[in-house]
Amino acid sequence: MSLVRIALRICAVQAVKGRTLVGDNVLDSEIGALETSSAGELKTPKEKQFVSVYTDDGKQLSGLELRSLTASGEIDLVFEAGVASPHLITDPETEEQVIMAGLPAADANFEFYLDLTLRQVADALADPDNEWAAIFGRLVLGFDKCQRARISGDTNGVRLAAHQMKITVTAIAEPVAGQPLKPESPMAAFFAKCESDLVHLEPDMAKKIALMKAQIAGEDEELAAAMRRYGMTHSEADAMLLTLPDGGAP
Amino acid sequence: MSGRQLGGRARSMGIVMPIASSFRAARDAVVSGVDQRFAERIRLSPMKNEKADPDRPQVVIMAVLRTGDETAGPLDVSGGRSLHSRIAAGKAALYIDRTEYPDIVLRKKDKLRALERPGEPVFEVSTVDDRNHTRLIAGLNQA
Repeated sequence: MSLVRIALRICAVQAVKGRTLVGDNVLDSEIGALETSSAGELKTPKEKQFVSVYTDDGKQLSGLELRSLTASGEIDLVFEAGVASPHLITDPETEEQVIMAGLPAADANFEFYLDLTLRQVADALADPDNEWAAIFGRLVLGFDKCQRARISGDTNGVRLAAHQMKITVTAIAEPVAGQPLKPESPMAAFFAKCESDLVHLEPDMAKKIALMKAQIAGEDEELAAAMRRYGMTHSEADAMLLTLPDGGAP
Repeated sequence: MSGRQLGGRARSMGIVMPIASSFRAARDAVVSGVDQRFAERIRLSPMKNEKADPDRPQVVIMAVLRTGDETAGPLDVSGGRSLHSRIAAGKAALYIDRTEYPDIVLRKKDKLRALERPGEPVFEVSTVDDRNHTRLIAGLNQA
């Protein structure tokens, strides 16, 4: 459901960062509009070609046992790459524009750039030497579907083209509250990697990891854990002889 | 529109101009009067196949540049496919006095730079209206 979505998204962003033509400009769930500056040069890192990562719709259509919401089901993971005319590098004298050195800003090159960038995203996720991709791979049981979409236009005040790659993945189940994570589990590996590699770069990551861990903290007895996992009521647990006469779990 | 009315409107803008005797003269007088007030320095850089066009040299002109509000719009201008990313941009237009610059030819993807604005923003020609009887009008995108 949720913790796995967070982990998937962070791993995807980190796995792709620095491994495509857009460099470090990989955005996590960007909502606001990308700004374009007046000057031809690039003023902030965001004002350039980008890849944005979103975790979108998710669904588990069957197989939920009793009231269990731990299954992650199928999650749409969306990668969007875009180039717009203000993202280009402009020669201050001739005004000739390039997407990158040696690649003029022709419409055909926009398309080339985007196709190549998304190919690099796919390669980054499958790279055995990429530690973030390795954790990403462990969070995912399999890819079910991949859809590509493209748009382009010049009617909104910029000439732009963008590609979207939507991968539908089957993800691992959520960790259940009250059950310590096994050190070899994918989520434990994710937490460890965040703490070693990300916390010193992104200060809010420490807080987010703490909140995620608090959500699954605690140590239930085995049978209480079963009640929690399946959303079982006390009367159901009583009927199944999972509780002691005093109401507590054995 | 009579020359008398035009003269009155132009005078109310504080521009002194003669009472025009023909429609064409009146039109030219109004265009030039407006340009005296609103035109700014623009450097045109004609392009051909993404390179500077050798047949049309770079030129600095005075013309009226109007920029619209910048609004945040979806990348997905044509609708249909749902992209999440959005981009903020606005259309602009350049109005060139044809009597002042009869030789200027604009083509799609020509670049121009507003030399008097902060940051000297660059624009790209997306449409050219050369049928208008007063001015050469170019629809612009940000570049």
